[in-house]
Amino acid sequence: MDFLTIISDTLGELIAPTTAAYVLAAIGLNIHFGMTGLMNMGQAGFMLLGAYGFAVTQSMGANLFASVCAAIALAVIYALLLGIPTLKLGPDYLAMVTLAAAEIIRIVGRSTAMTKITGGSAGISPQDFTTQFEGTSPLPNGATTFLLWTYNNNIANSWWLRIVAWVLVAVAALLCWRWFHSPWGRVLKGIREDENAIRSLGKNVTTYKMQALILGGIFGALGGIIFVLPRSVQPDSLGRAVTFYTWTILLLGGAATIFGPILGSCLLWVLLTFVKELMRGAIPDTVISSNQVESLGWVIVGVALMCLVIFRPQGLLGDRKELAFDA
Amino acid sequence: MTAVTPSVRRHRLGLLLLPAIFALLMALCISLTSPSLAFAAEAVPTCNPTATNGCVNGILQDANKQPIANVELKLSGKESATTTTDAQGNWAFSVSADGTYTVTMDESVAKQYGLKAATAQVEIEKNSFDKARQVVRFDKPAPASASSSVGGSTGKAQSGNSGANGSTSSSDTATTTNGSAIGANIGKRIWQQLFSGIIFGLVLGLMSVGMNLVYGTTGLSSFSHGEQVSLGGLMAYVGTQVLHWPLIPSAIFAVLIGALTGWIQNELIWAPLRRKRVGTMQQMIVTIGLSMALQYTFQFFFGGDIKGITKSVPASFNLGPVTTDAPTLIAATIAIIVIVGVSLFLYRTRLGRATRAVSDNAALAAASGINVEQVVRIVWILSCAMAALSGVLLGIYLNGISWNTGATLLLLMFAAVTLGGLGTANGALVGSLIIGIVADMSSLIIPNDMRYASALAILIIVLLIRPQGLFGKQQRVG
Amino acid sequence: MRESHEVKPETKPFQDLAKWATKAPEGEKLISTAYGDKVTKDLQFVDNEPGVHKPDPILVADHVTRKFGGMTAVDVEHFEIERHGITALIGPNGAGKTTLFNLMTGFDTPNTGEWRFDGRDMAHMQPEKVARMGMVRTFQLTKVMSRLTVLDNMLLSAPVQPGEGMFRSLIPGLWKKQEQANIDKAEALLERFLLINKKDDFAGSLSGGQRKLLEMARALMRDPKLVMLDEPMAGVNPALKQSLLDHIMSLREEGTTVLFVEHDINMVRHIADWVTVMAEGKIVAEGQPKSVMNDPAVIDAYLGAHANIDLGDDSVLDLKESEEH
Repeated sequence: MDFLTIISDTLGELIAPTTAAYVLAAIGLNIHFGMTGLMNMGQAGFMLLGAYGFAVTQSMGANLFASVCAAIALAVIYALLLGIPTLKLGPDYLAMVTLAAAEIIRIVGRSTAMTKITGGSAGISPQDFTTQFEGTSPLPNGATTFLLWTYNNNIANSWWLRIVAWVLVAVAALLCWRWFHSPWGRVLKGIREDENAIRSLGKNVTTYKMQALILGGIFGALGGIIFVLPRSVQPDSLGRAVTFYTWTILLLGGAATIFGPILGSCLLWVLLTFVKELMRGAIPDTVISSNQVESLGWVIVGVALMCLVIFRPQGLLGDRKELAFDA
Repeated sequence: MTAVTPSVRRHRLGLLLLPAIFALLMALCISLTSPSLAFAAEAVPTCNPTATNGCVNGILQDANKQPIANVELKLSGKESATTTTDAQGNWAFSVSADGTYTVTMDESVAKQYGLKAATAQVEIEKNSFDKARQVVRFDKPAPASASSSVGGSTGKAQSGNSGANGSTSSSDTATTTNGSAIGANIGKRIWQQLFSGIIFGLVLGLMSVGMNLVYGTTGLSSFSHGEQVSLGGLMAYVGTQVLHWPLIPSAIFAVLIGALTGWIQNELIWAPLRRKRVGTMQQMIVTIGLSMALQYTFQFFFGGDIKGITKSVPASFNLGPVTTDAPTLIAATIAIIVIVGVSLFLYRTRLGRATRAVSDNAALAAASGINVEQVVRIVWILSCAMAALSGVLLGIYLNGISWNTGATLLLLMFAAVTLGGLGTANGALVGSLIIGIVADMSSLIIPNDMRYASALAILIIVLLIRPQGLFGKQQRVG
Repeated sequence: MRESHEVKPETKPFQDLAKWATKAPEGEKLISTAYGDKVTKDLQFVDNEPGVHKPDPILVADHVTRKFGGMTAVDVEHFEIERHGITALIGPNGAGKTTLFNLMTGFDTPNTGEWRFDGRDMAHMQPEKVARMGMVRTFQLTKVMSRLTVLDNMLLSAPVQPGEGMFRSLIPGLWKKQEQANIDKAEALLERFLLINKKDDFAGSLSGGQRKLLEMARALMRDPKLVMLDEPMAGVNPALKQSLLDHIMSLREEGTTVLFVEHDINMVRHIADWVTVMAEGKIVAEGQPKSVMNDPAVIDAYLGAHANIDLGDDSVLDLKESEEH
């Protein structure tokens, strides 16, 4: 067992692009759930659409900006398609429909019939869509070591990707902070509390909910792009599990808070990696195999989610009095 | 909880556009064809499907069910390989690409052992739990129309996979390969898919009725209900394959374990949460956590592959226009009996009426002397027992169960429950039948791996037209 | 995708009308209740019969029906509300009062029927548009935004706030000024409704009666033409009840029409200019408070046939009325 590797691997999660991708997805979910009270159980659907929108257009040779726009546009269309029928219904309906729709996207995306566009279940491999992004890097080629971490400057899981991802997170958090403390955010919070009351006060609740759904979906799509950049676009890696991870992150950090998603994501991944690495290091492979360690990691996340919701529903940063749940 | 805001205006042009867009999307998907990829298949002694490989296997037996050893079998299609059967007649191929495979043996060998076909076709889909493994048999006669076609395909394949999906998909491919047979077979295919849809719908109904009872009495949409289904199937597997019990005691064991988990989780988790007046949305997220924890606990103990509850390959026969086998029919009969039993319980017994009263208005029921906690406890036990039973039936019907079988079906349960109307007991059954039939029938039109998507699309379309579900009631605001 | 606002912001200062409306402070003469007098005069000549036409109706409804399954919740042939008046809607539980409220304000869709508010057709109008037209309601089970502060609850009702657009909200310069004006107005209203000390508390921490007050104050924040109060007195303690009554009467003096649902017959007698009685979804009686209370149809609706019970202890109110006049 090598403690130093475990520690540096674990702390590496702190700045990993995947962590940032989950922060973005959780910020989106925070706009949905924390601010507006929308039970979006299909954030992974937004992420997958964003990833497809970006990667497919990139592999077709579109420029970087156009690809990001395509990802955002897909998220907007998807939010509209989901929102129009369900936003007028109760929270259970939105939960089920978003869950179902995310699954539809995954099933259709991985279908053999879609192989020409999405690569089917094999997905889109990195060399087809990451070159342009890597090309925009102002950093010199090679690898750089900063404190504990050594990564390539430009290629794949790179410093450049980390910089872009966390700058995006910072911008998203800043925007969220503005929105949370604006009259617009107040209306959303009002809808979270009681949409009929808000309706009786002359606000077009459906429009606000739709704005929130779209906005959160866009952050989800951006998260999806960041998520796939260091790996490949694999429809099955953006399934229901990702949505549930995102929920755990949001509830861990604290719904309806600005820094909740950031804290939640960093903490979850650092702790989870630490526990898994420790198990891999400490327990011989004959007792618990590597696959089983992976399963155990999931069990931990599941139990953590249950305990969080039961014992500390406001998360780490939330105000007990301002829970995002109905009392 | 606001179920349906009555301010929903139902007939809006904009809303009606959505199904059209969905249909368009679907049509777009169909028009695309998949290029074939060539990877190597390999002959293996035993094969377990994983995320990266599927299995084509079987036991070669003669007309008197005696194993045939040392027969050479050729696999062709997306990938190709050759193997020989072992002393028990076992053979297996591990394949890595989804698609259609043909298994061929020397025709003289087939004649020699009284086999009715020398060729069989199956379709492998790695990520579908019922199609990652296909069991191949050669004891089915070839349909008359197929014999006129050219090539090695002298007989219609009948995959012995007792899952109607398995058997129909093989007939699908047979039809598409033998171009001349399309017209003759289309009617048969419709019947077959309808039949398998009804069977699937019944088993699904068993799960969704329980889920809906829980929703009705507690307002909770349980995401961990799928794991209760997996649990039932896996416990039956433990009974038959680990403890080596006969099937029926194993099934009873599984149902008892299911009921027990229902009781325990109500006592340990849900009852305290209700006492603390924790909101249903919050409880719903607890069920998500529970679902994750349970699912991966199963994976931890049982691994990622499919567990067969019974190892024997049942004999199939024709029932009117459809091909089926005894276990399938028995599973369907049990499902019907249990569903009828539950309806009788709900409508004819004191406790059942109390349950419906709690569903209708818990506060009022409590005020009129009904012990709501008692009712909820019984509903939890009943619903988890039903889920476990459906898991067992599903395991028999699909010839195997895996750690995530229930999770795959969870969405279809939700779809069925929402379709019928949240909280209405008979609605769930009707919804399940519709979902089951739609899912299986849609594979006639759209690619098979997208058939669950079609069921989910139906859900969304129904919500557009009748948001309260088929049997739901509208509620007053304020 | 942003709000449009038809209503102009309130600019006139608030008078403490609540006190003036019912009893004058020591040494001062009771100010003329101009609207009250006008409405009383106008309604004097109106027949006491269900579905009667009134001189100056603000809301006119025709053939409104609403069925839930087999049950008819509302079946109103013709119904008018007099402008500037205080109309009470009474009736036993399940008479369809709240459903009628829901239909009128767009929270529910009727099976048949049409109604006009201030001359404009309101059928099939969304609740938010109804509110923006100046018809604001409260709810029987109070709907306050529990996890927002009392002040935020009020500000949500402000008719004008450009910062409620998604993009404009990002630039504080565009909405800070209006926000301050809204805060001033909200604080004035909260002061009037004795909630000013609670303005930074979460609304969920208020008592039932305070929530009723907050809901009413919030409705007034929009400057409604017609305010529809669903059981404003339910759960309010007796001390607050009197002040609530005063508030309702002062509303009339500001030119607001009031429709309210109430079970407390004494309260109704005390403040209503006109009483409409509903039973089993239909309007069974209408008229001046005093005459309606003696209407056999009303007694029948409330207490069942042949009940020989007084509809309320009037002695206290009679005493009060004699003090005032």
